Amino acid sequence: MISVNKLNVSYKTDSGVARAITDLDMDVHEGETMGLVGESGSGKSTLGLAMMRILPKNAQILSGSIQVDGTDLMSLSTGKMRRLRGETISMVFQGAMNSLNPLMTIERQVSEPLIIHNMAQGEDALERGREVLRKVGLKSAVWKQYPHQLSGGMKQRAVIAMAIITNPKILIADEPTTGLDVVTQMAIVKLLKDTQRERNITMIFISHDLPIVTKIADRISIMYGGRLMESGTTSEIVRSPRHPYTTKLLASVPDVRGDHLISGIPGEPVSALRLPAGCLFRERCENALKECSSYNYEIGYQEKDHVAFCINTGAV
Amino acid sequence: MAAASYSTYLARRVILTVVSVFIIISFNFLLFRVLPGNPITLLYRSPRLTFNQEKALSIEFGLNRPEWVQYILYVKNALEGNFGISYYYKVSVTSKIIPALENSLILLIPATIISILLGIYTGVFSAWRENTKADVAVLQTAMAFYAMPTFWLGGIFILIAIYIGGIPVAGEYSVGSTSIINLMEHMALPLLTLVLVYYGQFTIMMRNSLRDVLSEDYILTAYAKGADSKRILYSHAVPNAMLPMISLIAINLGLMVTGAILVETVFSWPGIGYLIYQSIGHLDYPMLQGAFIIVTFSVVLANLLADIIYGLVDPRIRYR
Repeated sequence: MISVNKLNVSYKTDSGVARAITDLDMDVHEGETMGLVGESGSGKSTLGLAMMRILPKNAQILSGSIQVDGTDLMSLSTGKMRRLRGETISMVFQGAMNSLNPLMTIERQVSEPLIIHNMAQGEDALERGREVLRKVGLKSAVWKQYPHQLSGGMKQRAVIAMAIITNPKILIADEPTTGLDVVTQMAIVKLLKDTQRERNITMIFISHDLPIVTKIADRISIMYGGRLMESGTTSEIVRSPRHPYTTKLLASVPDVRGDHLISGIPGEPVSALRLPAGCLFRERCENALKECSSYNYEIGYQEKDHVAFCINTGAV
Repeated sequence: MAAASYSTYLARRVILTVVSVFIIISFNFLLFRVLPGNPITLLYRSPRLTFNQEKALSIEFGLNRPEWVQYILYVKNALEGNFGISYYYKVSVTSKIIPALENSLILLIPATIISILLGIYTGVFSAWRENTKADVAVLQTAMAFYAMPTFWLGGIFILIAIYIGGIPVAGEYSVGSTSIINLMEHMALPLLTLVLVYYGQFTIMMRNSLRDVLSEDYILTAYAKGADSKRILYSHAVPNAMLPMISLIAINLGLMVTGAILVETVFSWPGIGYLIYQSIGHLDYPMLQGAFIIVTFSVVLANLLADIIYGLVDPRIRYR
């Protein structure tokens, strides 16, 4: 369904060129949910924006392709890509932030994609907007309200309604639970999961929160410094991680019952402005070997779909 | 709920406006009492004014009474729209101010509308092409005109007009004429001067406001919906970018009346600005008081208008 091949994206900044994504390969099958996990600066959001081709002006796709159903998105004209956006591929942003226009009522914003893609007009569009709002659990009192009158969870629901109103095939959810309280997070995850099942949507769920991702994703890809570290089914990632970074991420999850100490990851994430040679995680890695400094991202471990880019996977 | 809170919001604004108006009236009284000069000796420009004559005049104008009595009478009259008799023209101040105000508005209303529209248009043009040569050119031009002194630019236009010939450079009508064409010919240069001096600030404000809005998350959301540039700009970005413009426009509506002093003086336009300029020379206190009250009222009313518009267009305001 979605196939990312050798994707390279960089940003021009005042302090130099930042490598946001390096040689990224990723396949997402139809109807599955791919969890994309990484710290901030790992390139996960850049990948989401690149798939929509709505990267900021200073970003540049250096090479590689993103294919959807065999069509390379990079080769599409601006107009054709615009027609795909919000219709075939939709995106859910962090709703707790300013993802909604403060001057427009909820129902008008939610039904706008129908008007943009000529699927409905006027009152008809609004009526369909209300239908979707009801479906995501927003009551009629909210429909004519403005974003500032809604709670974070309600805004997130509205943002989801807006993304699914056109019945897209692909949904990219970028940090949809960030900034919400834990109970609301779970409700949003459930809503996304139910919607995805019901409509057989192919979903990419981007988050820095690994435990949340394990609740929704069929497969998980772990990114670090713009590269893929490990990818596999959710149970493979959780039960038998092969990359030391994945292991560290799993160990930094707090345990409410508290029988193990949280171990953070020592050191700082790599700077996209000065990526070191060799393995990017090497300097924070306890299992680092001498060879790691000349590592060239050959697959270090592979069993079916489970891959890890590390030469010392046995040590984990 | 929305309607009720909007009316309390409005009521609060109106009360604040009334309080401001009262303060303005009082301040205007004070201001001219502390100015140097004796209005009576100025009124009759004769060094041979006798003590008795001076006293008689003091009684006629009420200047012999205690200051607080003068103040109460002044406030009472001001509220009735009576600002007294002009020392210089010897007619009621109101009868001079009203036609002058009309003349000013004939010039200022179109100048304001044109400069706001031009400012918004060039600001949007610039923001959408941020950091391109077109953006820099539009912005530099706007800033250059904004920085020019009004009287200087007006003077330059007069020089050019005289050199070319055929364009009137002073007054509102030619002697004996009352035709609209004649009025518009006379208006051309002062109008052009006002528009050029004023539009730049709207350009800069609109450009910066829109540039900030264009980097907001909800603009990215609009892109993700598949909206084209036209929809992004006019349905999402410009309405949001207009919010800070409302205050700027309101402040300028008031200030334009004062700004008109320069343009009206340079082009001898018989408006309120020109009247103020002449009355300063005549030490005509009642006239100045009346004119300043009109000017400050226009600032206060413009602010009230801005508050009303804010409450209508920005749903967040009503709930504060």
